[in-house]
Amino acid sequence: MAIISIEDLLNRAREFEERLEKYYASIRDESQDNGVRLLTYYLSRHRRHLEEALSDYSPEELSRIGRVKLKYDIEFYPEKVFHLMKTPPQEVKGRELLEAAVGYDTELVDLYKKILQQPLSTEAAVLIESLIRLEERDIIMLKKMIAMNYF
Amino acid sequence: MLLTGLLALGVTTGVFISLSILLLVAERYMANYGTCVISVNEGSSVFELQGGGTLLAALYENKVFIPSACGGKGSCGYCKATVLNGGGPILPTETPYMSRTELRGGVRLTCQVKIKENIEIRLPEELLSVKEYKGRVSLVRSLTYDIKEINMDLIDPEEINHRPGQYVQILAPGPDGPVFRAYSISSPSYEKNYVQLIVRLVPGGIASTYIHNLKEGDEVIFTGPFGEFHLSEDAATEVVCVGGGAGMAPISNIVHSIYHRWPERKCHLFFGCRTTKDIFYLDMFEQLAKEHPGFKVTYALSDPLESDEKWDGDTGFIHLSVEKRLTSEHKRQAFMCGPPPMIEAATEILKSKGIWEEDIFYDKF
Repeated sequence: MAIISIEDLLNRAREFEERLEKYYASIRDESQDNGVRLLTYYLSRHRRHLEEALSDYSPEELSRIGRVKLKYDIEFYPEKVFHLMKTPPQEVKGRELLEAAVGYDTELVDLYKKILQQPLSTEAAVLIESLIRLEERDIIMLKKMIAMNYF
Repeated sequence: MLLTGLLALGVTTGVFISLSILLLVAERYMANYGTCVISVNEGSSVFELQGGGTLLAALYENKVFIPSACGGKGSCGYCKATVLNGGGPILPTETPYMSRTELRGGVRLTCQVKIKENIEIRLPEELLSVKEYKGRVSLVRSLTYDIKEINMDLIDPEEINHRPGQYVQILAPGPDGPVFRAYSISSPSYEKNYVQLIVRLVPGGIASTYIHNLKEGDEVIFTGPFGEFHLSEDAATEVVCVGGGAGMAPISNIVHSIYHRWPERKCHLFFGCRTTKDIFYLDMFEQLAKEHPGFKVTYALSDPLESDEKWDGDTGFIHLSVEKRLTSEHKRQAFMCGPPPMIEAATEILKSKGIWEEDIFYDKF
């Protein structure tokens, strides 16, 4: 299903993140690796970060930005990059989780950048730019954790 | 058809590569930015240099040392300075590291700022007193299978002044040239003639491999001290330390510095390990707790024990030990160092125990 407005975009991202949270919760229940379980708590906070970024805006502002229509439809299928959700939770390794999270964040950044190339109101562009920074910061932290070989 | 397509792709790629090389050569040999002036903190340090290099390199060459852990590749986000004049527009490689306030305030990553004109910058005053040190390795000791303790006696200068929890940047040889990497000082702040580090070997890590291969007598270059940890001078303020793995370094410094100066002060150290093989310093801290009744130490193991192992300490994640053992009191500061998931989980618990966010200091890693 294509994204045709900013509201569509935010709803689709939220929807996928809710599915991710459920998957992380199933890992916490079933994994024997405590490092991986701790990591899932950290990764589950991603949705909260998104909500925190949006909390800078009043409901009226968000509603106005949400109504902004995209001139060209954009495809968004995040499950394509999160292959890991097909892996049984008890078998997931920490590094795989981190790499999948980097893949998902990268997909979001690409998506937001495609949206920024379209004609948008300044207000909507500022919101999308802040979401890009949020995801890029997350990618940096996740890559550092991969490099440090903690999990 | 396929052959024509491949040929077209090859030609296009070739043209792009040739143009890129041409631009790089032109930039290297033809661009002449002349002599540029860099002014730091309203003229408290001013130097002239030939334009064309990065601001980070220029600062380093002129003995202004600012944090940078990636060798100027724009991937650590540490080398920030407020650029008041010159420096051109901010680059997309910098924005992920900036908050909205920093973006508005002209903060830049100095490794991404190319000197093409006079530049005026502002740095925290504290950074202007950072020095470059030469040290000689005097002790290398394995603490666990992947963590070593390294002592470096200072040669030039012979003394260092640092606060508990600060770090230095070690200069390590890398495949693409020297790189700096940040390591917390684990020796207490009253020890001025040597610097001790606790370093975990990261597989493939440039600096940790270099440090783990150091031998007694080897010379090491580093800059410092850096860092924003501020231990309260109020002896009535209880200190909570939470760490894991090599995150012990700043914590060891803080604990020993506290009991050297305030023998009666209250402090609770929480340290998380995965298995018994990751435990170190426990005997030393238990001895310290006997000498100072205000000091408590809690180690926790997060992985299940082997059948032949004995452990009478806590089990589970270290933040759960914090939740279980820490009562809600006023006047506390917390210092943490470890992996980001541990820091985030412990931060939530410390806040729930009444510690204000501004009194929680942490190093993620």
